[in-house]
Amino acid sequence: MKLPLATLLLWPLAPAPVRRDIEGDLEEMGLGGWAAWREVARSVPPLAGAFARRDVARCLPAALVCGPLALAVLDRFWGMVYSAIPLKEDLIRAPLAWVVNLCAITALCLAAGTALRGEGRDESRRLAFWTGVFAAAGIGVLLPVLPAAPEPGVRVLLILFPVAFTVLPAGGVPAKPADRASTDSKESEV
Amino acid sequence: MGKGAFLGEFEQVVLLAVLRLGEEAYGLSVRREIHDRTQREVAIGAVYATLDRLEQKGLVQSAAGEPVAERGGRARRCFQVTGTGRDALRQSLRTIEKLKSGLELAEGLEG
Repeated sequence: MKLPLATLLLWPLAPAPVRRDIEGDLEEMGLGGWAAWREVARSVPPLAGAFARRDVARCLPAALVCGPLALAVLDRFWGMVYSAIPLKEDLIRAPLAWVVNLCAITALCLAAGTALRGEGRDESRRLAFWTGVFAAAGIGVLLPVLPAAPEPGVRVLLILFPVAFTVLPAGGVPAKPADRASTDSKESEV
Repeated sequence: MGKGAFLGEFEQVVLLAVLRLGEEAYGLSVRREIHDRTQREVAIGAVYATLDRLEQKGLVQSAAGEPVAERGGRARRCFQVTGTGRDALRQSLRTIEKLKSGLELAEGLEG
């Protein structure tokens, strides 16, 4: 039986072993179509609760450092630089300032994604995704309250970069031996 | 006893179901056991989220079996209650008994 698209909903919330178990159970129950959607949808709240208890604390500190905290520190830095230039204080930041901000945030996100590589490919991608999402959300909240808010285009870039550049280094991680063995056995069975 | 050793109501239910099923305890069978004995309809995700939490607390342990064709080649992950799990369950049920004893519940609430 081809597994329904509904199981994609499980990816951000559950680690690979739990997802495999649920997919196996759906297959064993012979559920497809709406029945599978219903079952997966009912599973989302308890899995989200488990995610909040277990994974949020693992992603949030790195997300705060790479996202809103980094941006706040950089804004302070540019504030100091601009205050040293007569009559330039509180003016719109030069494009170079935003390029530097973007590069610094990207570098931090790459570092955060790389630090997660020890978790194995699947878990690393999942945690990197959430770290990026939390960082982007933090930046999204902070941007409108900055004294010198950037252009909308720069805002979009600042929000999108953390997700992309946190997940990027996690993507190339070799799978853990246990994950690989399970994939191999599945393939040999098919 | 540490805070983590106290069991929630659904944790008790899942632990009892795993104990009843013995070596046949995996997500779907636990869910079926709960349904058959209590007529309670639970989402499969709720069972796995609870089993995952119990495993982190060291109250159950899991082992992957052989791949099964009816599961699309996926293995069943079978669960067993650990000694700590039995102790925690015993303690939890004893607490309920202590609180319940001597209490006259209204008619209809008695099991």
